[in-house]
Amino acid sequence: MPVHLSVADFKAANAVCELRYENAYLIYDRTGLVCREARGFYTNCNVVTASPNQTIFQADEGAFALELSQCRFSTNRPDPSLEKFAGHCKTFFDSVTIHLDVRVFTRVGFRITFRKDYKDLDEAKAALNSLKLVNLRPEERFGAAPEPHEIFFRWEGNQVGAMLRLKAESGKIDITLPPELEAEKSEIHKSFNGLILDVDYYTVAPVERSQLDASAWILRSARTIRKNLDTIFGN
Amino acid sequence: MPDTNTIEFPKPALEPPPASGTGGYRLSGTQGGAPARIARHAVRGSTALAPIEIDKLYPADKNYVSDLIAALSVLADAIGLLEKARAAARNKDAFTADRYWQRFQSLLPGLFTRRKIGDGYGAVINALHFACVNQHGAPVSLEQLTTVWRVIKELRNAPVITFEQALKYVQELEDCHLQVYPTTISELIQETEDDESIRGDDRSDERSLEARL
Repeated sequence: MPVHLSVADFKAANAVCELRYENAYLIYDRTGLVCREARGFYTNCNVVTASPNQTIFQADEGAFALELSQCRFSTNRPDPSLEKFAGHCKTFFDSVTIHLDVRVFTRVGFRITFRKDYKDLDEAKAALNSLKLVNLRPEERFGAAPEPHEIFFRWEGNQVGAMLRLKAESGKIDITLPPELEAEKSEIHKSFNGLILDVDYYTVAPVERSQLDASAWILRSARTIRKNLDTIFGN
Repeated sequence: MPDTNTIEFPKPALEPPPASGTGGYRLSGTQGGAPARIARHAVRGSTALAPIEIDKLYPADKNYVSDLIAALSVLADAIGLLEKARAAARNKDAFTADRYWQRFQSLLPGLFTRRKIGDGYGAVINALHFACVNQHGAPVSLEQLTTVWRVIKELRNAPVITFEQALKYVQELEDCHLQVYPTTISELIQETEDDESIRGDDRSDERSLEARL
């Protein structure tokens, strides 16, 4: 039975924005400046690991990574409109590009994962296969299964590119609580099933610093992603 | 039967790099939550020389108007008008050229409202505003039209310019005899320069007097 899907049915579960650039050797001198600024901008911001080529700091807003040739901001709780996420990215990236004197980005990427929960894995698989994205007869392949439960696509031109991964996924959380809590239940077990949409939208051609407003780009890219996903879903 | 994934809570420690497959095939892409320890991916497009087209980076969208995307649309209109003005000026049609120049001038308030884009953007738009005001209705020359057209094109290709970069454009506008500062500021600058030259003259007089003595 065909299942009607729309991006509006999915919830954003994870968002990452990443800048890549040629090796920025000023990282060896100015990482501290970036960290200090981040502590001023973000809540409860603390350095988690620091090595010459890679520093990671975690704040309530999300996780930040600063590396020799890339930096990124990621969060597991993106706001629905992504405006806050885009603002956090812009603040961090502006700080990095100014202090590390990065003038050209070899790649700018925005990756977002959407999730829709289903009652069981079969239902999630049925939803994926009802999209009929793969033109293969439903017969067992590689002795594994008649229909795929994960599909990848990549579209790439000379300016921008996109990767789309769809996966029917089953997950499980198993937690054993410490006895000191004296909780009624000493263990928590939760399983869930869902359909994952993982989209990576990125630039292929180099982007000059004077071209990039990270906030505007992320919000525009999010619209491009939603619009194209709906087209793929046949809406 | 699919593997059962164990969902891990977000944690500050490093996680393994994104999924890799048989033969070391790695899905190159924007990395997930935590950064990879070995994070040296092949960078696509790094060999390309030309920067990305601004319309590919920010595709036009009637239903979504951010300051930047709105400004890009108005700047495209401005470029179109200036091209027509230049064509008319080349054909010695001063009347038509001035008409298009005035239409360009009418776009400046719209561009001014988007100055949140950045200090550099704001500096260029302000300079163009005063350049228009200080013309006091006098028509602009083909050289001036060409300079403004070029500056606007540059600004559209790189709207998030720094203030220092913007000053170069402002200097180019000044070099083609457009007055890019408010009249009072120009007068103040002129007075300061005059005072300095007078002081300089006094000092040279003193030096020559000392030498004679």
